[in-house]
Amino acid sequence: MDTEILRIENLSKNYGKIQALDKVSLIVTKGQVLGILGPNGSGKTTTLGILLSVLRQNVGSYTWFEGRYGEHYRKHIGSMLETPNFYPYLNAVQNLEIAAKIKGAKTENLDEILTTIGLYERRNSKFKTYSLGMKQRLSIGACLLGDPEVLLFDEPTNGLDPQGIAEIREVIIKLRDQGKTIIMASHYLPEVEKICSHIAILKKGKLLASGAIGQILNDDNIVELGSENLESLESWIKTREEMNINIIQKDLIECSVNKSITATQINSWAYEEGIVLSRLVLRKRMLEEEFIQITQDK
Amino acid sequence: MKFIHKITHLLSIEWLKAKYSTLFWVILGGFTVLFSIGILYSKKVVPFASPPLPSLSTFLEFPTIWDYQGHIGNWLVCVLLGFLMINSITSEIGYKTMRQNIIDGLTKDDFLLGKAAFAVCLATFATLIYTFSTIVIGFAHTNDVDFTLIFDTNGLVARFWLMSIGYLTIAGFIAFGVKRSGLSYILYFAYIFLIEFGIRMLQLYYFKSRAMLFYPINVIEDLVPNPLLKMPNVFLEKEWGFSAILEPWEALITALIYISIVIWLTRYLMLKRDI
Repeated sequence: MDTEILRIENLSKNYGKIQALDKVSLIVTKGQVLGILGPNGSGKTTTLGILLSVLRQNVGSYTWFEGRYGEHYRKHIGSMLETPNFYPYLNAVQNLEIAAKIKGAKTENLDEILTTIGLYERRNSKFKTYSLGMKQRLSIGACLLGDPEVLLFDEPTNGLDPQGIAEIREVIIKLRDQGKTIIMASHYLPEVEKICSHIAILKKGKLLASGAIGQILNDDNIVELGSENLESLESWIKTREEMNINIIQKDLIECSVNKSITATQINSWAYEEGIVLSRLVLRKRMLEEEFIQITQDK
Repeated sequence: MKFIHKITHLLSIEWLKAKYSTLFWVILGGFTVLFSIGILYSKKVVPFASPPLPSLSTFLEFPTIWDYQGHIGNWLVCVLLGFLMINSITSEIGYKTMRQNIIDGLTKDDFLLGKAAFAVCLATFATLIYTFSTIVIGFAHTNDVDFTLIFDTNGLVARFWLMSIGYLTIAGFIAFGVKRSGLSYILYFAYIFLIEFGIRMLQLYYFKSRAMLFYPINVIEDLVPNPLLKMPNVFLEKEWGFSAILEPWEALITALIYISIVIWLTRYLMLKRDI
């Protein structure tokens, strides 16, 4: 049986009349990379805030590491919640020393961490002189202190330029490959799809779906079809049981199709009905499409 | 033993935060300089002042120098160290580093304990400066020093320490309660210099009673009472029917009760709130 890292039971939180979290239950096991997805205000950050003891839940409970570390469990989690929070008058090394002291972590590998996050050259500059991207990197660096068992990131690539996003993604993938358990809230679905093994989808504080990405993602493929006569194309698609229309755009129709169906088959069926396809793209269903469908359905 | 280890650990974290802070060193430096030489200013003022101001020797010689230095210290602790205490908490709230400290592994109680240990260090520092500066200045100005006179303080040094703890506890409570630095400074100084004084004066006007002496700041101030009040107090006592200054034991016990209540309230706020 997999070692349980986190168990959340019936977690609820409200801010006055606003229900930020509504009876969320979830289990995370060792080695999982869990992406918490949800639109703005869905309760992602509230969930992480409660799990890190900075917010108090109204109802429900959670247990880290099966209770092994008692109230000191946070020392075994590298966490980045919302904005990077450091002492502005201190430099990177001094800030990391404080975080290390709190965690009871050694400081011998600070140079290595600073190199990993690309801040070694600026290690003696004060935090207040850093760009948002550099602050975000320092936050990731602080998470690596003490080689924690679990990493918890809230929008880790927020505010980074494309190169920064790629670099941070590399760091996270490296951590995943080392077998770390990672919990990550993100808006950026392609990133989650690349990194995560599991996802949990939140909307208005409710957990809509959770599980391995393979289980959540529908087996169907997506086909994009275009024709000069879009009305005939639409009528024809509606006669085919194998195809379900998802979206009709100005010049193309997007459908879900069973994964056993090939592009050649679709082309030949359309040709038999006298429909000439100007566009035919068959691809795998993306997490973003699944996410939109789940959050719209419920 | 475990508790001492914990306190040492929390203090070392506070030290890492403070030691590179310019404000921390400027305030401590200013405090030390003003405390060490402030009373020497009396040399310029007192010779030209008229009664009821006491003679210069009363200001600078043992044992009365303890009272005057204590009174200067009362102001300096209240203003400078109170300001520093508020800053050390509200800046952590403003920069969200308190939140980050909790995320990194401190419990809310640990964070509070760290700040309490910081306050105890500040109070101890202030008391040490008080003691050394008084001894040095007193020695320099007292002829035929009698050692029994030097330490004839009636527990004033210990009361000075408790007075410092009192101010810092109230400053800490306001900082944790209000969270914003500007508003905390305003409320702290307004309460000390205006609000409590105003309430006490209203009470004196409408229902004169000794209870007016037992307000928190007055109690803390009376741990090291203003020596310049001794003479007017003789007249006030006749007019009011009671002394305007609390007995040391009254101030001590009441201050301990207030400090305990304020610490309890601060902890209650901290544990109850989201951060």
